[in-house]
Amino acid sequence: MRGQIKMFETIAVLIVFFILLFAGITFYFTSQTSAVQKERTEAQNQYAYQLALRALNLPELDCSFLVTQRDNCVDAFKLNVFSTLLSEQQTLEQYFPEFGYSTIKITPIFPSGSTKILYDNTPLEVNSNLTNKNPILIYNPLLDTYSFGVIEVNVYA
Amino acid sequence: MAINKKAVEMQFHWIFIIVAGALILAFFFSFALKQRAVGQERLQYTVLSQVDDILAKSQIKGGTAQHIPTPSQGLAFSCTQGCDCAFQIDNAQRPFNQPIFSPELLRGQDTFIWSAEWKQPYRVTNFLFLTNPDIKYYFVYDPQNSPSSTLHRELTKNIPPPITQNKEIVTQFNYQNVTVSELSNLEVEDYSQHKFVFINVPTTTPAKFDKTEASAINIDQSKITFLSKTRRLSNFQENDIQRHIGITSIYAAIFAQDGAMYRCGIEHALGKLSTTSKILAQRAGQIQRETLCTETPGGCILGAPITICQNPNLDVCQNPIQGSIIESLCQQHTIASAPLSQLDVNGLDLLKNRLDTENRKLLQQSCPEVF
Repeated sequence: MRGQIKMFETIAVLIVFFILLFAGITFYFTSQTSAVQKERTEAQNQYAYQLALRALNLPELDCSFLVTQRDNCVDAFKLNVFSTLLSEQQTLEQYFPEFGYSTIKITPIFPSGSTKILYDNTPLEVNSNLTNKNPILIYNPLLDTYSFGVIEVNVYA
Repeated sequence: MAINKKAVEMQFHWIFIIVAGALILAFFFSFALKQRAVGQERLQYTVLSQVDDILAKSQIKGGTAQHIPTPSQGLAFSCTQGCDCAFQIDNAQRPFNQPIFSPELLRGQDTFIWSAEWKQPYRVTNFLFLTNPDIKYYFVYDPQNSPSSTLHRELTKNIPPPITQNKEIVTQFNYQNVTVSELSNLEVEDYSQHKFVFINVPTTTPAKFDKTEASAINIDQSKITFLSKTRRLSNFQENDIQRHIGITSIYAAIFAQDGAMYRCGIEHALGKLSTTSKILAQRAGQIQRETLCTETPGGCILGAPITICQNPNLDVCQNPIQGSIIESLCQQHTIASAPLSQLDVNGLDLLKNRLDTENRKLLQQSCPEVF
């Protein structure tokens, strides 16, 4: 009888111990997962901004005047040609290391115009999607005029 | 007998406690060790993404020099012969596909980052050069030999000055000019790496460096020879020969750890040139179409075939007007598509000058410039 009580006592202690242990582990891993998730979102955000910067500074797209580059500016004629080139599979593959799985769109806001998809490489399975928008100038070399626009970068993971 | 049974029971009890305690301790120890490893790995990846961000931003603006703190574990760069390039901090690795030229390992003082534009004559891409003051470069030239001294002067005049903070040098491109006659007396200094840049002079191993590990490049009129020597070797041994395409590519060879990294970066830049020249040619075709096919009189003839008026999506490189700016851009597109070993360097140089002249002419004719 005394032995049985002792055994129950030991089992009870073990049960309490394991409950506390699992509660601690669960709490720890939950907080770790949310921290990792936060870090991942931050990294994705940073990457999206990096892509927008990269796209805006591409010589294939920039506004240059006698080899002087204008910041945050996209040449409308270059944009037309480059987006056509990037719709070809070979060129898309060539630019994959630069832009990865993402979609880059340019939309004229004032005066308004139709959205141009510069680069589109969407993975078959999308787990998460983060968007970064930046204001830009769109230059028309023929009329020598500028319009306001937005560059939108969608990053997939 | 009863006492013996109790004593045995007590012993088993303590053994049970010891075993259970040891198991619990082992569990917590292994958990802590795992967490430490995971934490370290996470830190490495965080630093790696920060470095990646800095490198990406540095590459955007050409003609700038800046510095970043070098991670304590060191920052390693590598490129395989197949151009799989990556940089890594300990075990954390990140691939890169940009013209980045760096020594194998940067460790210790702050990393010096220099971004230089590669123009043909328009900006094609920015080359990123990395080093730190722990690596010593020796520019060996012959003042009596005109090609050698001219190239030496050209090379040294573009190098950014040291980066300072509160009048103290934080980091710099640590180089020393050495004439061929001074080479034999050159002393070995306490640097982690030594790199010799022989500018249009024969490769010679300095006498006092015969038991020192070092690397070197030899630049002549058209090519760059990559050399290295270990402590056991008394002379430099040839590893690779590549062609150069102007002063920026020579800087690339100076900073690149080997011929593979140099070739990968230059071929990436050539790929960019091929695409950019094609875009500029098509853009010029569009400008011609918009001015010539819709406006009367006048217009800008840039060299696109006249059929562009009927077909706006015409490939202007299929039949461009000879001697026009579009023809030059199309030729540049064709030349740049070749691998570095088969590249027509002279042709590329001629086109660069011709394009510059043609673009200025367009301005005089009140036409939109092509670049």
